[in-house]
Amino acid sequence: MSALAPARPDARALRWLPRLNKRFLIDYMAWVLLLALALIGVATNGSLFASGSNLNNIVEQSVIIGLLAIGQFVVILTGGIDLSVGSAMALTAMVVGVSMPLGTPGAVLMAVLTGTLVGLASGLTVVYGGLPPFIVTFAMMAVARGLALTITSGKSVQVLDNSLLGLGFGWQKVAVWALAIAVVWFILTRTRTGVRVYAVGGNVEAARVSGISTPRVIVLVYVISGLCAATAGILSFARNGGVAVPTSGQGYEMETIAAVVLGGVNLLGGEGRFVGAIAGTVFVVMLRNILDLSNADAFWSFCVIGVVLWGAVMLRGALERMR
Amino acid sequence: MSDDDNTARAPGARRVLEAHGLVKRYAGVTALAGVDFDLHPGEVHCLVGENGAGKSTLIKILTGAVTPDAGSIAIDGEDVTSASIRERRERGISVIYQDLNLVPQLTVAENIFLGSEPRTRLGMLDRAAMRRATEQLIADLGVPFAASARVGELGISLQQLTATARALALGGKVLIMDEPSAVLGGKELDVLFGVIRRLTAQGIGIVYISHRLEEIFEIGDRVTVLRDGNYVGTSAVADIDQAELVRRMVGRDVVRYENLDIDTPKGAEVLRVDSLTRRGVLRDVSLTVRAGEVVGIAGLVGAGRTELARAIMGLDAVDSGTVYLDGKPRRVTSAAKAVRLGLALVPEDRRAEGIVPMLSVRDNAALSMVRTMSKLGVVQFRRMYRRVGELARDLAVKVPDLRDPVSGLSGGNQQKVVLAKCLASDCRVLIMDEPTVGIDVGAKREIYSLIGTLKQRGLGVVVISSELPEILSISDRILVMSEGRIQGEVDPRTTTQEEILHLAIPPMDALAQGGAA
Repeated sequence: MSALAPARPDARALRWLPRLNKRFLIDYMAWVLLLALALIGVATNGSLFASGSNLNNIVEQSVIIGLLAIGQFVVILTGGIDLSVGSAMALTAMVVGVSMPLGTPGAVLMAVLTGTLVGLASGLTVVYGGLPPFIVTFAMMAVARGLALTITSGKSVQVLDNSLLGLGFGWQKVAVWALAIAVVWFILTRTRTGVRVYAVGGNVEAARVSGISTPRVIVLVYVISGLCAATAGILSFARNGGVAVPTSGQGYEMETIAAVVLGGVNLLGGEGRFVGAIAGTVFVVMLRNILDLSNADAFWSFCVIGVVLWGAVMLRGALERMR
Repeated sequence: MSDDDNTARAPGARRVLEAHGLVKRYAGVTALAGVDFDLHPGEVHCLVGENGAGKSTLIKILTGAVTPDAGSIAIDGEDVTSASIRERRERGISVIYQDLNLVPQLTVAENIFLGSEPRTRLGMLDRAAMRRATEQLIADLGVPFAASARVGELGISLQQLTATARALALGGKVLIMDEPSAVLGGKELDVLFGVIRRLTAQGIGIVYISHRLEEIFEIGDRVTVLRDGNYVGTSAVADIDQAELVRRMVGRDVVRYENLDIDTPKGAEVLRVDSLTRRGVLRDVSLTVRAGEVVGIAGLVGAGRTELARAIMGLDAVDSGTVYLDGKPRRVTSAAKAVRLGLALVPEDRRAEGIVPMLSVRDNAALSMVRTMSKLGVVQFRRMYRRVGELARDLAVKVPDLRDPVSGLSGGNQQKVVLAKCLASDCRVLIMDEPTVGIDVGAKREIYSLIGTLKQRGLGVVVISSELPEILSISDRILVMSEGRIQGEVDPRTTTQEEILHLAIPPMDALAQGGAA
């Protein structure tokens, strides 16, 4: 039987060889672009860009966007989108700040609870309200931001002396990101749930007739995104030296979407490699880094990221149409 | 008719599936009126009938997707009339629908075990077990292909086999295949038949639905004919020939409507299609339509009729061929251009392509007028809505207020709105694709009478219809399509439904050359 497993190298097998190439290009588009961008970085800023401390910076700065991009990636796999990632992060950071008096474990628990609730609210509304994810999470973006601002009437929270601070720096921060990557990678590639996430995004109807509870899968991905936002919130609180800023994370939905699209995810759902989203994240952060090193106007970077997002979608579409 | 089926098998042969007196009504329309059906282990029982005969309803009742109004169903002698889809699936009834329901982005193995993925003791996805079981299933089917291939990258016949393997993975005793051959070519069909023979040798009973009658004689053991929801009869395939089968499938009365008189004088040729070819879809199609003429296009589902309409309308590009309007060759590159040139299409799928459900009745009807009713880019709403009002009165659209949303109307009235939209563009050639599908009898008659009115006004009308009595009662000439080609022209005054069906059914040697081009 196992002799049957590899398809015979007949005409049929040869015919999808170019398609494999296309798939390959989409999956690894972000890595190629990342390499190209690094070369541009070296060319424009030379040793300044390639210095150990700068590269270290890039990795560290990737952590927050990277965490949010994980959630964004999983949601987009089901054909949805999560616009609330940035404000959910700000909200959980604020929750950590104000609940510090409960002690560090209590504050972390509160943040996790907040992230879960945000994800549940979005997911349940998408499933049972029958509303488009774009609108639901757009509303959630406003709700979470509003709550973040309301908690302290718009002021930042400072808890300078707390045991979370260590998490915000150096390898600890990167380790948290790596752990999150490992957990989600495991779920997506090694569990039933992972296959079902891809199935729901690929063909909801087929998933339903196969007996999969599609509502459960959809709610789950928003909860994963909420938990990623909570983790990002905790880290951002720690990184700022124990300061939670209610206006933080604005525009992050853009950057995370740009990151995962660069990473080759199909915005209609059903396909995308997780590693691509990581490369996409580093690309977006490196791009901002190079603009900073080049003393580009900070306002320009928004525009540039928008152009990159647009270009990434175009490039992916072109690759998809390629034969 | 013949109820001699029981003698076709050994007396007292065990029945794996048995249904009696199934009745189903939808909003006053009888979809099934007392249908019997049974299946022996290891047999291929074919189900045939024209579109709308009740085949799909019967399948849905057998699988439990639809609850019958009367009748009973038993699996292995045990009554399951009120059992759910899931329970019946567990008892061994699987179905492969025409659209297969696969996830193209996933692999063959992932698709086969979707929803019931095996797990290791640690709760992880057991990919090794999935692969092993898939390879075993594939080996059982006798056609080698890779368990790890992405389904979207497989040819249609391997996708079909993936769906078959999935049905078998559930441990089915009864496999219902709904038009499995519709998308398969000759060689692929042989593969499918090979698989079916292997399955029946294992004792699995197959319910096989197809409109290609030749296939039934090749693969079937028994055949049941449905007509307009009625049970016509069951026979052993060996005891029946194709002519008799066709005779059983047809047999409704044809009523000729008075304002659709064939003898009315025709005007000049308004539309001529010359050698239209679209690779794999349309082959060398030529036809002419004169003013005041209704040309019917008959054929089976998949014959290329809708594709022909789309090609004429500029919705799909063609590889070669010319469309002449009023004798002038025209390059119709888009639907917008087609409308400007005087063509209009009433599409088959009314909800998806005919109406904009959230818009009002009058805005739907006005869609094709917006350009002509504008001055310097500003729409003259008063003038436009006045014209819509006239059209709605002309067509007798029944709606309390033209500002009501079109989605609240009945199928027949929605179709009239679509017609109004087409007429509002002042077209001279109207192509109607299955104009009365899903419309009740009264509204059908009104649509026919409207076609008569258009004919008298000198429009050229092309009607695509799968309902033979309909096409016979309204056409001046009938073209029969099959396999993307016009197989012949018949005169509705002298032809019979049998003759049309014989032309419409693709010959077996054409299948062997492969329709999958």
